[in-house]
Amino acid sequence: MNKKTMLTLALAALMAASLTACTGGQPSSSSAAPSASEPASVSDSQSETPEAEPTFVVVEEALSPEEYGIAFQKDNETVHNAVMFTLNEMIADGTAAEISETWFGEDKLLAPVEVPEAKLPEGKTQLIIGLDDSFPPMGFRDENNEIVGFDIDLAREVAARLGVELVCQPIDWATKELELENGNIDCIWNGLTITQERKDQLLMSAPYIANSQRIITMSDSGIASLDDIAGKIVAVQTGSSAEEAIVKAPKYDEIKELVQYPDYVTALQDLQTGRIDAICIDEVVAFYYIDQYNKQ
Amino acid sequence: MKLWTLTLSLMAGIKTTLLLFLIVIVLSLPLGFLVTLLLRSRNKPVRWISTAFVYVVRGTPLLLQLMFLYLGLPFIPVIGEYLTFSRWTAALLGFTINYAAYFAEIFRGGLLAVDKGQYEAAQVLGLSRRQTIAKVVLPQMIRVVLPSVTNESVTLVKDTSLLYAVSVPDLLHFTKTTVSRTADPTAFVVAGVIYLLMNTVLTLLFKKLEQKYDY
Amino acid sequence: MPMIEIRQLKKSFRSLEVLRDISFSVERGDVIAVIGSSGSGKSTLLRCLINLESIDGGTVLVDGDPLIQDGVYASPGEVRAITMRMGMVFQSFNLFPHLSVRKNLTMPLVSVQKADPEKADARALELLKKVGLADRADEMPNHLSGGQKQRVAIARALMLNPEIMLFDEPTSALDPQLTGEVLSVMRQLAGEHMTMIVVTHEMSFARDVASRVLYMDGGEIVEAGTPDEVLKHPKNPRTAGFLGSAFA
Repeated sequence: MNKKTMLTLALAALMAASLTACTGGQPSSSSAAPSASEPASVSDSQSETPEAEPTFVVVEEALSPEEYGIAFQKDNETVHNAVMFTLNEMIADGTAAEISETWFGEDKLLAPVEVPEAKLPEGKTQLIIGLDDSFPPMGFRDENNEIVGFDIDLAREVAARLGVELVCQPIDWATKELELENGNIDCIWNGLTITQERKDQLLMSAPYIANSQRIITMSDSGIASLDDIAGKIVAVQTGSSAEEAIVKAPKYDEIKELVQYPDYVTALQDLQTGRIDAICIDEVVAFYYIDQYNKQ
Repeated sequence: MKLWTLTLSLMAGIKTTLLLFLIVIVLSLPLGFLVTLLLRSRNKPVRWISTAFVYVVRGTPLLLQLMFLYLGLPFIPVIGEYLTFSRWTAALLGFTINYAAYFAEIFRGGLLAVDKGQYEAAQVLGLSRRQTIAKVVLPQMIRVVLPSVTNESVTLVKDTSLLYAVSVPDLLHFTKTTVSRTADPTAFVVAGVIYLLMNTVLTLLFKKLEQKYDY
Repeated sequence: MPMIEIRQLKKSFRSLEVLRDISFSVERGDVIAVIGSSGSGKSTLLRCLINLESIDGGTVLVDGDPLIQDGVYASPGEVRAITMRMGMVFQSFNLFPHLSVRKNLTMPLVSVQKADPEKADARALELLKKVGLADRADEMPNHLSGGQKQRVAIARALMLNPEIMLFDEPTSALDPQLTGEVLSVMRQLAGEHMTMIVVTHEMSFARDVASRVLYMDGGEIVEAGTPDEVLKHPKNPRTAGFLGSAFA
């Protein structure tokens, strides 16, 4: 074996070793099972002993409330009506509430807005939903790489009632509108916040669940209310509705810096290491992650 | 145990990455050589078009080319509907075209390294154009270009992560979904080791090939 | 009928005339030494004969068959058939570096003439023996000395049984102590009555082996005759001048 080969193998061994080292101490829990546990609140953490490791907490006070909807092709009333009529039925007969209980521990569904009854176009055998498959708990991959989540369970039931197959198509979130317009997917169903821009551009459904933007911070950060973000470094996911929400926060002008992250896991890591002080994040996502971290 | 579980959840991505790599290498190497021959064609328009092709493909990001092939082409009036490719087709097309252009440039350099006297010797010994290329030029060119081709292939393994531009989930994508599920970045390290292993095997294979073509 | 007959051969590179009105003929078994300073057109003349350079005008007949007649080339098939009757040895050997000595000899025969590989191999060994390199058959060319490479190149050219051998400064790229082994192989060929045209700077070879010597300068044949006539008693002052400096 020549020198270069040796060097390559040595490097591979080194990486493997560092891998073992950085995971060695943790319990092997990475379950994605739906959970109903409540997040620790600020007041809870303050009662803990000072020696305890700081934990993630969610500030009670929510930023602007918002709603999730499903996006369809601009002129495709038929598919919109068929899906929403079926979803409304599920809300009426309690099926949707059951699904919500499994994922959130409560019925988060909003009162349905009536739509005319409709069927999917003749010959349509699939309902293709586009999603970002790294958005737990709405749509994500479980340990077997199956796409699961609250939205997926809803969509699967809708498809079953419409008598078609559900296809979950992971898409690049940056080009989701083009995917819809090209007809590669029938709808975007993945914790999509209803905004005026999306209403103009796409056919947005009436809201089906409520969401709000919340602040995640560490228990020792001294942030207990929205006003405490003044002078702190706050993070959001690039292009998320959290970005729009934080800008409207009363003390936004006083924050030290707004940092953008491509994904929440990296942001949470940085929150732990103290590079940032707070993350503005969708409530449903925040609870999912805190739950995951508490299990580790 | 945990590492093994993580590796398993990346398996689908590993398959996609390897499959794309293999198909693209098998298609783009010969296509690249064809482009090299067109670049040297005696026919002016052919030379001009192939030069422009290489210029455009090398001068724009692969990510953009993939998005153009998959998302852009269907919007062209009239012919757009015939240019609506599936995700995989668009990906294979984009990667193959892109890598063919790079290989064409590498091969062009390799051909320049083959002495003019070799063509003359082949001619006076009665070899046809095709025989000259197959029996005399190619074997000598391959030796010259192998190190660069190795380099480009290693890049291709890493470039497969661009597959997500056309929403074909690859190794890196499954890594991201695993990280967002587990809220634990260990999967990134696992993915790093997997990429490294793939490239180690690839580099060793090319080393073998280099030894074979050494004279 | 002469083996090669050349009449009023013309060749220019753009506006530069490198061969003007070359006429001479070569009889079967002749050994022609072409001498002259570099740039005199002697290598170009050789390359024109085997179609490595295109001829602009004139006539070349090989054994009566026209390669080019009054500036009009024969068909590509005929050109190929005529040039295949000639073998060529280059100054820089041009062996195929990726093939062993043996394969350098057999590949053209096997792939072009579809010869039986075993027969080709036997013929290759026979020719390697003739040039004194039978024991190097399985070496790669890069492991040979310059003189050995050139001897392999001669053997390779002989594989196709040429009737005419063209040598383009076969010893110019060699160290002086290595020229002898190549020249002795060429001598041996001349002794077997091979028709040869040799572009060379080796005056001793021209003097001892050539049946005729051509002195070229400025794209013309300035003087032609027996070695004795041209080398010892040049009639033209340009020849004398060249020989004076060549022997100085």
